Amino acid sequence: MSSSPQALGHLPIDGRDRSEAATAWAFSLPSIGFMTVMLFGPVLAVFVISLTDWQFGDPNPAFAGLKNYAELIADPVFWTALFNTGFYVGIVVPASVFGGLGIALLISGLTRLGTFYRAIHFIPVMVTTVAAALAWEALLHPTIGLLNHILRAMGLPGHNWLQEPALVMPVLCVLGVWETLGFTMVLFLAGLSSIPNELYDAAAIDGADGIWDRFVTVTWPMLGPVTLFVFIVTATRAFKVFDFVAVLTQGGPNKASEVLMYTIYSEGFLFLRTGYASALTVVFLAIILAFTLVQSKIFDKRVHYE
Amino acid sequence: MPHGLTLRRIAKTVGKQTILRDISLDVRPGEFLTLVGPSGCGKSTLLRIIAGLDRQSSGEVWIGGRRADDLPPKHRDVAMVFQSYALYPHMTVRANVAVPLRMRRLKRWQRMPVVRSVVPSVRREETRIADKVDEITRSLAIEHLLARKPRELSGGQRQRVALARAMVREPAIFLMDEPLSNLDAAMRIQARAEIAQLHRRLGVTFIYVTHDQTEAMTMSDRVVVMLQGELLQIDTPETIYSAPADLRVAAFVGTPKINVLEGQVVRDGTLEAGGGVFQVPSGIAVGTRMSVGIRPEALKPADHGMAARVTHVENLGSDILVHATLASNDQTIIARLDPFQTARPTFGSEIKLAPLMERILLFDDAGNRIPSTNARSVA
Repeated sequence: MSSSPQALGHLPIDGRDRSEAATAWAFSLPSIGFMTVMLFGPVLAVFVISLTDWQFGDPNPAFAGLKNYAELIADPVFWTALFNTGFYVGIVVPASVFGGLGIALLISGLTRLGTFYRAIHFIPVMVTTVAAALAWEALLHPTIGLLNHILRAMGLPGHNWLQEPALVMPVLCVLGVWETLGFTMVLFLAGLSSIPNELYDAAAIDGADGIWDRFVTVTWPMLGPVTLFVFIVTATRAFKVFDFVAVLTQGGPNKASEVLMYTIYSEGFLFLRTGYASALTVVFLAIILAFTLVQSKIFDKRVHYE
Repeated sequence: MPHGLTLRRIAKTVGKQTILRDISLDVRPGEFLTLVGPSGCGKSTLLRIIAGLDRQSSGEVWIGGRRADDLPPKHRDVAMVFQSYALYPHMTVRANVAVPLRMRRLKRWQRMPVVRSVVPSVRREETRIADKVDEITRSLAIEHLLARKPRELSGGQRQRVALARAMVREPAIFLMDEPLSNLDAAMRIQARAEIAQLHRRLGVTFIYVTHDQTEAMTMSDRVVVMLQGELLQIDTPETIYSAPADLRVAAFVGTPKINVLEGQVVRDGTLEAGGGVFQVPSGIAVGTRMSVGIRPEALKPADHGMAARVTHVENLGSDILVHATLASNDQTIIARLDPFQTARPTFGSEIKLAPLMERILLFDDAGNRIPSTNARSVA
């Protein structure tokens, strides 16, 4: 037995450090392997393919450099899709984040029926989008649709909601909000329930007891981390808008509802221009990444984490 | 001006559960009153009713001679320190302490972010508020923490910030809900002294809730002992200890717990309990069941006393706690002995313990104390 505690502890700790690191790596290895195969690998492959002129099935793709990217920049369809996607994100994200927050605040204030309203608002999240799209198609149908029937009964003109270029994107935005609202609401409800009641008590004693003062002093700042998360997740989801477009409009009429995901889909899977679709995908990924980074940078300064 | 407070027949029920029953008490202006009791006794609920955070089911709250039942917390002229401190985690210490003043002195539009730098009158008011915050935090020696957020503070520092936030608006009554329970033992002793000093300095009414009898006994002018929603006794700490009104009060106050021996009056003026003979007031019928309460320090080794076998000895340095089993009924009793005056009993040895007769407490079968002719207050 050594008399010095350092001498007693030093060597074994070094050894333990090394074996601890090895254990840590061993534990992480499955997910690292999995992520390499399922995530980093495909992204890298897409990037490599985007530098070729590969058409799906072509046995001899040739290296094309940045040709696909040059074509993309010159393609008006890409710009239309980019604009439409931006429009969609710009409407759907704020509307569903603040709408979800509003609904969550209303529901959390209920003493009864809270579960009922929560379930009602969450149903659209659980419904398969394609099935929901079919239901919406029926509701929005120009001649037999319920919406136009109601409008006409009220003496208002009906519309061909999904076929009028000026209307189709706003209508898709409404559907997008309808689909996302329940999701943001549930996240905000969870965030609200984690705010300690003592903070509201303290606010009441300090004089912040009105609805607005309570919200500004306690609720909104305490929801900061949840709000950041909800913003990033809904934005990512909104960028990937595809199902409703594919089922209801196929990007029409005349590209009026063309969005990035649909362009990637039609280039890659309808026209089999895999190289070009890959270039679109790379651009798409870059936009999402940049958007998320900027968002979290902006928020991080203002969000309080416990 | 410190306010007094009067509670009249306060009761609180939630569903079928009774939280508080028939609580009436008067708090004198400037008094330090402590509500003490085991958890679940309703003391925090009572404090919340005083603050206006909960509403009583029946009864009246009067603050400073004014009926307060319909006043919201902010108009009751009370400030509260919470167990968790309830500091706003996203605000700096300065902003936290300033909240009560900004809420009172500035209108909603004046509190908007940019207004302060645009409107001169608002800027002047904000400066006055900042000066007040400086003054208060300096008096609590936390002025160097003003720029920090609560998560960067230690427990003791947070507790002071919570105090500062309560003090800044100079309330007539301070309410404190277990403010020391999140501190470590050493900090707690220090904070105890600081709060008592603060009370002397401010001269306002303090109503303090704790489950810790040491806090109650050391800080208060008067103590309210509560149990299961009931007010058992309200009196000075000395009286609570030496002349408890109820067996439950006697059992709650004092560490180690009071020894309670059950016995019977065997002839007029004499009670037998635990192998000992005790004098009781005459006139109590023979056969009446009674309890004798003996504080551990009121038991001394003697030549004639209750025979007991020592089962455990704890040496606290200043005292020796002797746990012993009575020969007559196998009940364990605890005696607090002075190590400098008595030989230290050894484990397993036989000793005789005699109570100091003037210190014993007598309780009837229902637990009410019978003023004994011999028992007298040590106060």
